[in-house]
Amino acid sequence: MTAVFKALSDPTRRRVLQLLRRGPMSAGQLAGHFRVSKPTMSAHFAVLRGAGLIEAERQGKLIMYTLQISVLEDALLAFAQVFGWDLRARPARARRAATEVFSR
Amino acid sequence: MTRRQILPRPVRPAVAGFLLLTALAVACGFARRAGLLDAATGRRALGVLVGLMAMVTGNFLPKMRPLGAMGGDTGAVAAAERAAGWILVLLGVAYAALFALAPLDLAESLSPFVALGGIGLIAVDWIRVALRPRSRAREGAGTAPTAGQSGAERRTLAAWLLFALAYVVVAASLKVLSEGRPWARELASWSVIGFTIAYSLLYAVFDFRKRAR
Repeated sequence: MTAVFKALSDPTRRRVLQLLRRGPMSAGQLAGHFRVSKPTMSAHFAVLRGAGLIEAERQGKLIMYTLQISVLEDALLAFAQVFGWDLRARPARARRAATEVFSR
Repeated sequence: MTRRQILPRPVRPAVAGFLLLTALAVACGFARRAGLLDAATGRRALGVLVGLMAMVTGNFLPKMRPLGAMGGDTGAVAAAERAAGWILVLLGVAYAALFALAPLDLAESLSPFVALGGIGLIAVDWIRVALRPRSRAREGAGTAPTAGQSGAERRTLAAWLLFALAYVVVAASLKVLSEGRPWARELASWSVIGFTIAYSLLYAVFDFRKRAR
């Protein structure tokens, strides 16, 4: 479950999942929707694959990605979308909290 | 060399959960016969377990892809599978909540409508997707990957889980609706054959559309 939370904590990965709701897409088609480098996109795909949220299948030269999401994961995705759930914000908050504690 | 696994990854928790709940339901039955559980508590426990079975199956249904990669309009097929998953989970929550919280008479009289209504809704949606005119693939969306061996295994297991759940739900509903008459059990058994034929027909329609593409 930690892998699922980690995968859903990033807005780019959440957007990938939203795009895959339309149907299977190739890595290139998905990458075309983002202004990030291909290695970064590959890393995002690897995280999503590791969490079991997408499935990759080779079709000739293309790698086709398909959404593979349970109802609970779907609900978590919707929750994350609505509340802008972003784990990257947590270290900043934690740092702030730590600074407050040490400044007392 | 990769080790071949008995069950594909997304199916394992669904099958394990379903088997565990079935074992608990059987244990409940034995406990009732042995006098360890009174009749009312036993009926409530069985109702809650049936609701949990629906929740477990529904949760993993979109991962198991019972219609997966069969049809031409893959986005619509996947959406129908997700909708079916949600319907089953909500059905399960309603069913379990009825038996856990409502007076037993009310729970038993309402449960068949909840269960058969949910299953009917899924059937209508799947038939709608099977019969709808093929839309042009949406911009940016690709074609369906061909279902590999693990995809086919997953689909078969998903179909069996769905048949099992449908049998449990239909048998429970018919028992209540017929007030325990003997023909209800027989009709429930026949319903499994009905589900198999309906699923095969649906499969045939999707397969025909895929080939006609």
